[in-house]
Amino acid sequence: MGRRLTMLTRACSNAVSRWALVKSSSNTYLQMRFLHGNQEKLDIFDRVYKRRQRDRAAWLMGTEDPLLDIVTENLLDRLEDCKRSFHTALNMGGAVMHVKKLLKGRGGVEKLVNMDISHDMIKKSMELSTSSSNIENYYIVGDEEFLPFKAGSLDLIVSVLGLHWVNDLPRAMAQCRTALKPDGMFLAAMLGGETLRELRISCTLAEMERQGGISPRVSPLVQVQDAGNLLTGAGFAIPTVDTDKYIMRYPSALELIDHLRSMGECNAVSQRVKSLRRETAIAAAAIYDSMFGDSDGIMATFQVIYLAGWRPHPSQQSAKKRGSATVSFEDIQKVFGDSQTEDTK
Amino acid sequence: MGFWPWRKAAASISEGLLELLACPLSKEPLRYCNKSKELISDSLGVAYKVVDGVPILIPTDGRILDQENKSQSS
Repeated sequence: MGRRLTMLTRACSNAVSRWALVKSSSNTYLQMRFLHGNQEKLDIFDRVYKRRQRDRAAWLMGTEDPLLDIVTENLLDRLEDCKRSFHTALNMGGAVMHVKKLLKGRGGVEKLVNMDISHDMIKKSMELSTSSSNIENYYIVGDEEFLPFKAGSLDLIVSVLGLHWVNDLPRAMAQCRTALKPDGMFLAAMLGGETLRELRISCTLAEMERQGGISPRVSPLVQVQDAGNLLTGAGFAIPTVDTDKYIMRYPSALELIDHLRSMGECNAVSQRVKSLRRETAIAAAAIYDSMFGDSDGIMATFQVIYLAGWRPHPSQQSAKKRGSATVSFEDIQKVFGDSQTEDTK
Repeated sequence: MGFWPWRKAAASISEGLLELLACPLSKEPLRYCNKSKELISDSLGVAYKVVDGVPILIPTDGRILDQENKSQSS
């Protein structure tokens, strides 16, 4: 506890001294960079470290990943439910390669901008060739927290498993809304709070047993209840939220960690303890195996939250004004209520 | 050159992409400088690199232009 408190105070004093440095300089760029980042609050995730992890993951990741493929497929399937076509689309973070590979002309996309925080990931997706050649692909390296797009320039934003590493989610989503054209669509899949529940439990137990204290090993994630509020808070119209749970099976906990590493999903919480003792790791794997394993190996839960929202436009359906109804609810009940009672008789 | 096959194809930034992009901080349009091969945000005085046709638009990677350079490039 004492150690964590000192870490917290150190982070606070760092932020204060950085602010003093920025305030004294007259450069607007430095001031804006600071103001956008961490005014008044600490960053939960270490974005610089996340970028390095994704650089590494670019070399570890195969073109096929069962989890990323199925989530991407499920999300892109929703484009077929829309009647309109989306000319310009942004593929924002997360499984960039998989979206590029699996889009297959869905949603009438003609111009696809692929964006990721890691340059190596972008290089790898540039190498990947797709079967459909009528899509123009563009590539940029960008941060979801600082979306580099003009207001009203995009028809569609797709993000597959990228938004759960963003520090300021409401601001990031508000930026997405401004970058969209009116009646543009925002589609995202992100990991929810139930994800890696088993790993969270076994790491906590192992750390308590071996080191007498716990540290954040699995990052905090968005709960389903908050996802809808996020969409409406960012100003999206017709928000839709649904969840899916995937159970992945692995031979042991070590393979699970290998898979997470290849997806670039390792721990990047800024307050993490940077080392892990070998005995604690082995203890965690053993606890995982005994609590959540069977004869075939172990299982891991991935809860995925699918979000969809639209930038408001007058043509969209909306609720009528209060008091504008011409028929009373009582009359409706009379009409339908009677027929129902007759039916039951 | 043979090792990085994409280097030959994309030397500069394409027009179709440039019309969408804005400065990640000020959200104002960017200008491509042919001489330094960088994207420049005039209002903030910052240049963003373009590597093999891929613009690196991350705020911490921006290069602050001093006044002399700024007047030269424009």
